[in-house]
Amino acid sequence: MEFHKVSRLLFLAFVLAFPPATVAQEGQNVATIAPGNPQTELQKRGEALFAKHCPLCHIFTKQKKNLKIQASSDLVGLFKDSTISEDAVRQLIQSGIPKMMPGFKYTLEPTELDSLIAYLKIR
Amino acid sequence: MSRSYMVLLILGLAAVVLLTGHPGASQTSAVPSTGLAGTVKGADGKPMEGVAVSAKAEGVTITTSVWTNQDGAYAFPQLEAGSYQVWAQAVGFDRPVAQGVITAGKATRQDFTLKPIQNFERQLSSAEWLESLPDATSTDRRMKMVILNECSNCHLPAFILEKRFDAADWELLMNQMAKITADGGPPLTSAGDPDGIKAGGAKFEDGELDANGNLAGIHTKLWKFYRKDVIEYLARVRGPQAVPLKLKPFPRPTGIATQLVVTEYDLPRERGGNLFSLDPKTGRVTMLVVRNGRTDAEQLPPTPLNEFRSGSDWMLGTRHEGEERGAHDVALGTDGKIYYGANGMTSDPRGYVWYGTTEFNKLDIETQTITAFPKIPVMSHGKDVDTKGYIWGSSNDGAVRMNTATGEWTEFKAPTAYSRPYDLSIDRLDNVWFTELAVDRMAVVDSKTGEVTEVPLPPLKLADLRPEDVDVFNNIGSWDHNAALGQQGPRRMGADRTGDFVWAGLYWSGAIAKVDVRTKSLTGVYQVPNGRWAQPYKMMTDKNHMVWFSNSAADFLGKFDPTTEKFTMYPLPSRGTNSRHLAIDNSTDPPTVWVPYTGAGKIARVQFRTNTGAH
Repeated sequence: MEFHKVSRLLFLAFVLAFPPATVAQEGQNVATIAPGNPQTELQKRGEALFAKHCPLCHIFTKQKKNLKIQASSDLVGLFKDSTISEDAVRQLIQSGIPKMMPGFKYTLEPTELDSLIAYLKIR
Repeated sequence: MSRSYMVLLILGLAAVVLLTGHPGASQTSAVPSTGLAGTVKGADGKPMEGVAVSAKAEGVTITTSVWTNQDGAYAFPQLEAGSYQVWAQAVGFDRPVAQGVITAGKATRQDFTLKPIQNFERQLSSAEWLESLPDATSTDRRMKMVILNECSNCHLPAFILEKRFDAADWELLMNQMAKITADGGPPLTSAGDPDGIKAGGAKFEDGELDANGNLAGIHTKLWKFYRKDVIEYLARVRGPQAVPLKLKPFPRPTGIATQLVVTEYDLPRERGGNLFSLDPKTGRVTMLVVRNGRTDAEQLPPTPLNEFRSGSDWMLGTRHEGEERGAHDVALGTDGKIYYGANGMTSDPRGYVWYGTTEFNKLDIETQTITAFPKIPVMSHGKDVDTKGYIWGSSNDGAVRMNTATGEWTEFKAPTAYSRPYDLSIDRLDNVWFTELAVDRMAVVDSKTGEVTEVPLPPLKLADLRPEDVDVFNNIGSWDHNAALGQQGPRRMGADRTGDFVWAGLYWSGAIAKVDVRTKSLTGVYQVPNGRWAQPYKMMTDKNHMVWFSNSAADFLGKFDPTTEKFTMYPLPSRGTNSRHLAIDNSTDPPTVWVPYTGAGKIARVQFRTNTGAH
């Protein structure tokens, strides 16, 4: 894998693991920005997949904070960061992050990944 | 051609509603009646019985479903005029969807052809998934029981089994679960298993601590014991090289089991209120909120569910129930509305709905006013009202009776300590029954003497257990969220207020139990058809003594006729319903059954008829 791709993935892993300040304020792990509403079929399918596979880590609650569940981004506004590419997000969802996030390469079909990405773009 | 014939022809053509869409949905001529009707055939041209056909109008919150008869024919009751999606569904086949306009008073015919598909594992209910897992070896048969007993109360098994991860990722998820439940709560305190204490009251002597630093209880000890086996098993059957499964869907419904109309109401995601009412006529939901001692009613805007997360498309699998905002309990009000949004709900014929798990709360239906009675520190789940007007509820140690005039309460303790009293129901003799989930017993409070006695259930004999499983059964035991292998699990229950029996769903063994209230003795245990993994749950009887029961892990509504001892398993049109409660409307003939879905954001009304092919 070329260096550029590796560094992108490492950066994205960091973003997914540690919430950016725009999403979660210091000392507060509950989302402060409401997720976007899906409008298209693809986005709606993606929202359905997000609600099925991602809430354990990517929907914050006070209890999760109190119980010191591993910190992660709630992915609201993820693609507003211009350094994050669709390919990198897709690859990360598939491969996961060792000891932090399971990889979905055996679970999600490519078309499902398309839907999930479409939703993440408006979340 | 005469002028009058021409007019008739034009009118006839106008009556044909053109439904278009999926190739499997075909257009044909109008049938000589009103309403939506048609036939469903297989790719071989033969009629298919027991196919679910559902219709939902654009922008509304109501889905109506019927099933085909032996001729493959279906017919809807009268539907509101509107622009509809109509789809046909059967496990193992594709799901053709038609779209078009239904006009009041006009006949609409829509035929479907279903084509078989190769991999339909995501269409399976949890019970079908477990049935389909490998079972050629004793190890495999044991692990199916482990998955059911250790995983199913927080996640429907289908939700887990649809996924595939390698061993490291299954372990990662299990490690997270040590800290938090699927719904975001701490796993070790959310369900109330006592710290460091076994069912029956003995202490665990090893001093083991849970993730919160408290003495480990039954949940934690069971989970820790089976954790390694579960990781290895899931990585084998649902891992990178998952074993090929021989999918075993249950047979489609036939005969009388197809003769129903199910109306599903999408529920708003709003949960800020104390209680909610659903108007069956309109589908509108009103939220009741207590503010400064006053009950405010706010009508919520109709919000159709995202169709891809509603359970309506079985190919999209089983939902994460914590995200879908369904209803756990329901109660039928004397105003004909369905109340939901709380646990431990029951209807009071005097015009009240009771609810709450830590206190008795009363909704006066006429005034739409909620009254909260003083908190009772020992409350648990089920509630019922006796003939004297006292409200009863199960408690941590037995049952509690409260005088609704004074708020004074009395507890009646079960002979067995720490037995996990769960649901409660009152028989025609005014005796108060409750289930003891952790010790496989039923208990009854004699209304005249106050004495509490117990009725034990027979031991569940299972092949394929290992000696260590027996040790776990004897030395760790069971509570409510998970259980040792061999536990029967009497959980929710219901007494026949005009009959002789009390019924309990056996959650871990897939059966229902019958207790005679005259002799206070167990008089039958009946295995539910295709029910080993179905987790029979709430039991209720109707005015004809028919026994109705929900099944949390199978998308069926069960009926048991105590005279013929025959079951009828009625299909529900959504996947992953996880229905855990019921309400019965005896004002209709035959009675109507209401089924809340915990696993999908809907409540279903189930009505019965005599011919699926006619309106």
